[in-house]
Amino acid sequence: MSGWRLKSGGTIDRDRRVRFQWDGRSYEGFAGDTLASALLANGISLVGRSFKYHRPRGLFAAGLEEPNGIVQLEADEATIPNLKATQIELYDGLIATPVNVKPSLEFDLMAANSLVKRFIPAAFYYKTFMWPGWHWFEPSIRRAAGLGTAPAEPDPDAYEHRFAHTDILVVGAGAAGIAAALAAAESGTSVMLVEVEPELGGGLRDEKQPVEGQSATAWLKKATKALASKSNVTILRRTMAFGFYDHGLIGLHERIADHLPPDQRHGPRQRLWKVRCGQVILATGAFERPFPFARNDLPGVMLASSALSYLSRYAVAPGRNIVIATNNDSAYTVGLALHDAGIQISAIIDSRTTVGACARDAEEKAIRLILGAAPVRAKGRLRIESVSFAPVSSTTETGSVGCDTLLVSGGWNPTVHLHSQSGACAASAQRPSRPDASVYGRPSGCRRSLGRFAE
Amino acid sequence: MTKAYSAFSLLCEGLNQQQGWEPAWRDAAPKRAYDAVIIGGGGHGLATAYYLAKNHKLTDVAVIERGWIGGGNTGRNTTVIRSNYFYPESAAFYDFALSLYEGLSKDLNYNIMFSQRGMWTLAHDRHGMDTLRRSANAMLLNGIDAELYDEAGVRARIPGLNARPRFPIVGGLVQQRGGTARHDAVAWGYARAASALGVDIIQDCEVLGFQIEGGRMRGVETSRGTIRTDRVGMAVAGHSSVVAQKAGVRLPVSSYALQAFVSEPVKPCLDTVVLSPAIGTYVSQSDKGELVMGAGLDLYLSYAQRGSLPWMERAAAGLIDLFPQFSRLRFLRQWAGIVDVVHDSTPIIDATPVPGLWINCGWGTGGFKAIPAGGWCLAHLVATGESHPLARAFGLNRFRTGALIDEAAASGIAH
Amino acid sequence: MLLILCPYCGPRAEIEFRCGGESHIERPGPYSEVDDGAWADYLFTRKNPKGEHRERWLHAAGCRQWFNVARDTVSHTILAVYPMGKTRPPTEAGT
Ligand SMILES: Cc1cc2nc3c(=O)[nH]c(=O)nc-3n(C[C@H](O)[C@H](O)[C@H](O)COP(=O)(O)OP(=O)(O)OC[C@H]3O[C@@H](n4cnc5c(N)ncnc54)[C@H](O)[C@@H]3O)c2cc1C
Ligand SMILES: [Zn+2]
Repeated sequence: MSGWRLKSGGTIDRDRRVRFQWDGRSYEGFAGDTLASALLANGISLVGRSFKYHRPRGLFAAGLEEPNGIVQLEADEATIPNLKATQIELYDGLIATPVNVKPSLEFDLMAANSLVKRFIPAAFYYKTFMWPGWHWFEPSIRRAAGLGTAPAEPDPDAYEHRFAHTDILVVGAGAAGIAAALAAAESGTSVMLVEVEPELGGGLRDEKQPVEGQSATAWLKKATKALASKSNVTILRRTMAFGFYDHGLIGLHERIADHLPPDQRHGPRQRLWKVRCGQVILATGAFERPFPFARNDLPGVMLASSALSYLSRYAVAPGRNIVIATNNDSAYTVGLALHDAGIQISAIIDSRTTVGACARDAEEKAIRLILGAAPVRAKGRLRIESVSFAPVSSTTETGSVGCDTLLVSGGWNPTVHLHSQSGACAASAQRPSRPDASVYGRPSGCRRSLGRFAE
Repeated sequence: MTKAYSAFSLLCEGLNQQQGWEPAWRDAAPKRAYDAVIIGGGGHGLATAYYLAKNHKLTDVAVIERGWIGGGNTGRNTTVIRSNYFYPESAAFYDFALSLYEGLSKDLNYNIMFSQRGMWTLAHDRHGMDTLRRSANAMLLNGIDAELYDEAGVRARIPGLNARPRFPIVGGLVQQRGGTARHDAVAWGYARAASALGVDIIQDCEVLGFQIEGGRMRGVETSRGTIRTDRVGMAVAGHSSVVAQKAGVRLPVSSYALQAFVSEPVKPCLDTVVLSPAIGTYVSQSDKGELVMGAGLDLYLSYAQRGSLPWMERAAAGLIDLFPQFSRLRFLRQWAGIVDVVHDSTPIIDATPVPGLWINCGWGTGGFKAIPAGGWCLAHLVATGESHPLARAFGLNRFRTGALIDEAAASGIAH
Repeated sequence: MLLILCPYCGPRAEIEFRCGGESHIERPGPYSEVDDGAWADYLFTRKNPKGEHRERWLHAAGCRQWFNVARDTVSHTILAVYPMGKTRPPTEAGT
């Protein structure tokens, strides 16, 4: 058994039911869902197949970092290939289909590649297909490659370009970005705050700890209101900063109408912004790292922080019987939150041998702790059924826990992509960063993002 | 140990848990001296080393690469191969390269996925069509395949072209033998084959200076020590001026950033290479399914491998004018390489004023297609001291005599 | 996309300009004494440095005036802008 919708909680609008189609069948979700959260809520865990061996793949994350939930949206001239289910906001009448499966997700003939995988190792194609000639083989390899399907008809939608100038552009509206925008706005300079998600808040949307003496939700609400009331602040939601070019030029991609049902879309679908900025503040947060172990791509394996997002935003539990594998404290917060929501946490496997206060909290709730161990292999066919583990120093399995979901947290990677693309160097002092950029919050390696703004 | 690549060796290694493969090439440490040193582990440098060993039996050779092999333009280009040049000198040279490409997978025992899916150049007005007609005639005179089509002929052969483009499509020229190859495989294949013949492939080793004694080349100074040698061939593309200057040689070269973009992978939707010089875009679909697009140069000197937004917009706009159905696809990656542009868009393969130092550069935006011939001819120079007949017109002296081979004007933009 | 400070119009985006290449190249002369080598040098040989470069720019879609720019070819940072006919002001990198 897999994910389901909890009776209460989340920021979804339970009064507005939304009907959608996935893989030819009809389902229901709520306004405020993403396609991914609605699929999980309907108990669907298999959403795609891997590129080469067509291994079953499930939702792994909740946002832009999703690697597996790649779908084809809509049909005919309005179709869009390769969108991430975690970034598609649900609207009434939405139609989505899996990509690169034949004839179906559950029974995919190309999964036969798995059977011969020992003969087609990485880069095998450089080693063969030379006789009689590459052109004998190329057409069928081309047909097997590619994910979704490009539209065959001209695009029915309109698009727009815009130029803008701003003193300060803040990329990312998590705690650090919001605090930076607020502080900058105080001085009267023009500020733009861009956020790829439909809502501001980033990690604050899932935060359980109080912020500056109030609940994270209350802090976020107040801060958003304060920003909105300032005439020198422009807030762009559903907007991705995709490039950091010379002399403070940032390219933005704004999705204006994609979240609306087609009959309610008026004007342009998307907008390209070219913004020349005095200062760019990168407050792009961090992504959680996965864990390496055998079959860690089985459906049911998910990032711990993503499970928390599904819980706190959409009131969706990723499974009924959860094991957590971690090497840091952050996954304990997730475990406790799921436990408090009435979901069974069967074990926390922690690679550390000594763990601080968070372990005591877990033990208080009678959650089994397996310390000094790491996952070795996930088992199951189309979904994880158990995970075996071993002491960190060896690969000899010392035990196994049954589960329908394994949440992993291998630590956090700062989101430095824009910083690096701009020509600056992320982790070294060899190349100084650019005079027109600064980095705040988690990308700077600073966990206590709010604290920095007090400085 | 498994040396040769084949379906049979894949089968054996599949049964053997893949334990028997050797590394594709030896990761060599620099020796104190070599018979010849090649600077630059791009396609041209690696091919030079391979042909030195294969054609000239010179195997005490090192290829010295600052970063990783293929990390320069060879691993950054849009992989278009063609020989539709205008002047006889260029046509002969590039067609020799194409013919080597046709047998290269077998020669190197490495599948470089050379796919002769045709290379189209479109015309959008009468004058464009006149130019194509002139090109087609020149190609046929030079013994190179060329087919000219009117609008209906083009549309029948390239399905999906815009029915009502902003710039009408009036015709097109196709070289059916043109196409694309897998760029990294060209670098890796040459490296593997050269290494097997005894060449040392030395990565992470930057040439910092030269040892010139009595006016003659005696060695190179690198970040991993001094290497003595009497013969140095350099093929460093965008860094040609920088490296040559260390030997006191000044060149007629300018370095510019050239960008490329790829879309997310989609199922087959474009089965050829389409170039529109007027619109400033060209596009093909890789075997993996990505639309691969290129654009023009950012026309100011640059050594930053970044690229800029204006060309990205222009290339996307051009693509959508040709194929409006692709406007809902998204770019997945974008990058730039630093290309070595000379005034007449014709390469330089020649001796330099320093005896013992030979140079291969000036490929600009289109030297991937030339790699086999560029390596062949530089190897000939380094081994014999004489220009190969195919490269005799590509000397430095042409800038003094005025015998330029102006392909920039004659055959339009490169690639 | 570069932001170039036109001395006559103010800061404008790169797409309004054309780069005219290396500055301060002097035409050799007198004519009768210039050999082919010097003439080829003048026409074709370029410094093409990795680092600071002095170059000419034309504000083609603006005032249509030419001026000089000192720019770093790696970071693209503009180090100085100065009028045609003027000699190079010293910059930090200083050449
Ligand atoms: C975006 C783009 C698209 C292109 N598209 C096409 C196309 O479609 N078709 C086509 O034919 N051509 C194309 N080209 C051009 C083609 O890529 C190049 O002409 C070709 O790859 C040049 O090969 P090379 O071996 O000379 O240079 P490179 O592959 O650049 O190799 C030069 C090597 O020298 C090394 N080097 C530099 N300095 C030193 C030093 N001091 N010491 C040691 N090593 C050093 C560099 O690290 C580099 O690896 C394109 C280029 C670009 C950038
Ligand atoms: Zn001006």
